Amino acid sequence: MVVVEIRAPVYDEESGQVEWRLRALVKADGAQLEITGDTTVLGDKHFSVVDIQTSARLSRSDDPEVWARNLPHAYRAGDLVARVVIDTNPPDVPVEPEAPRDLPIVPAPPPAADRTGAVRSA
Amino acid sequence: MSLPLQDRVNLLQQATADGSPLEHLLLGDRVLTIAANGTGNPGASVTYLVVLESRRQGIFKPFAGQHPNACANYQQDPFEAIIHEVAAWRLAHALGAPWDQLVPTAVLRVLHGAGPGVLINWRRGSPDPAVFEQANAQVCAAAFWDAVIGQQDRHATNFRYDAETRRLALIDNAFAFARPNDLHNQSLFLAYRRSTHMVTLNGDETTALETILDSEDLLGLRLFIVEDRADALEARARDMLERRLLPLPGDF
Repeated sequence: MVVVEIRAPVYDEESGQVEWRLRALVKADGAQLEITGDTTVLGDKHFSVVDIQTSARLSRSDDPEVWARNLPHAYRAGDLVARVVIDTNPPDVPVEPEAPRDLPIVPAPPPAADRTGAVRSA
Repeated sequence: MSLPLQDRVNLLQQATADGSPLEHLLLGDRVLTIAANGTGNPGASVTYLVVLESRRQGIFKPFAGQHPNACANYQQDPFEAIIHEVAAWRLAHALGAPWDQLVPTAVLRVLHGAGPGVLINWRRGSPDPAVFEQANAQVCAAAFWDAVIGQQDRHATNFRYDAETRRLALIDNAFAFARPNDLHNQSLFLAYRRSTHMVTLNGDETTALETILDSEDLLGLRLFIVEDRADALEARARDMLERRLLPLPGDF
């Protein structure tokens, strides 16, 4: 069984803190799939994800558990975040650690005085 | 031969000299708060919600935060995937409307506690399929955009639509600039245009392709992304212009 929550960060001006609000809950158990909450954040039945272990593309009807388990890797934008909260059968294949690399250095942007010539409306 | 990553990072940052006011704001506005998404999945890609002093919000993706397996699946390098977010914005900015309205503004920045990465302007909305009914012109422009940049994963939740303002946002351009035979998951907008028999390029689209191809460096892209990805984009653009047609989804 896999339970995944889809949540969104919300900045609370009063507290100055970021809170996480649950948008939808996905429960997959074998061939059974239950989605509660705002189902629009899960797209339609054709919403396919790529299995992190096999690179296979699958939709919810192909294998609900594997589909649900891979949701965190499909939500990469950050405004909606999928989080596995229960997984009774986590994948055997470990996540491959990336070899250490030197991070690029991001230089300061050009000074403002140099950036006034061709400003376009956003 | 591709320039080293660090050189391309430097060139991307220099390119902000012609940046939009929003780009400048994202580059320089003071950070009010930054919060990790707190995912409970070891190894899942790391993102942060960033609130700027102006109260504008953004999503920050650190160079070190990309999931290695996800990148490997899509034949993407974790660092290059971050570069792609900014390169995509720079291309949209160079092309102008409607594409610079669809693609979120993105800049390279260093954030205390998160390191170097890309700060992407927050776009309102949800993956609302109402966009297909209410904003057809934006959907069509999105299909063209995904075709040009070789978007690999425009799945059913990989866009945001704000029905109130009727604005579509094409979020997450990290897994893009694909090469022939790279993995393709979904291309929602391209599939829509094919299903509705709107595969012929319009005048704005052919002009955009001509603009890209007539420039010396693919509107700067050759300075920002690796050579084989730039070559693939150029070949794709030439093919689209010659045929006056959108390619099949995944035909990179």
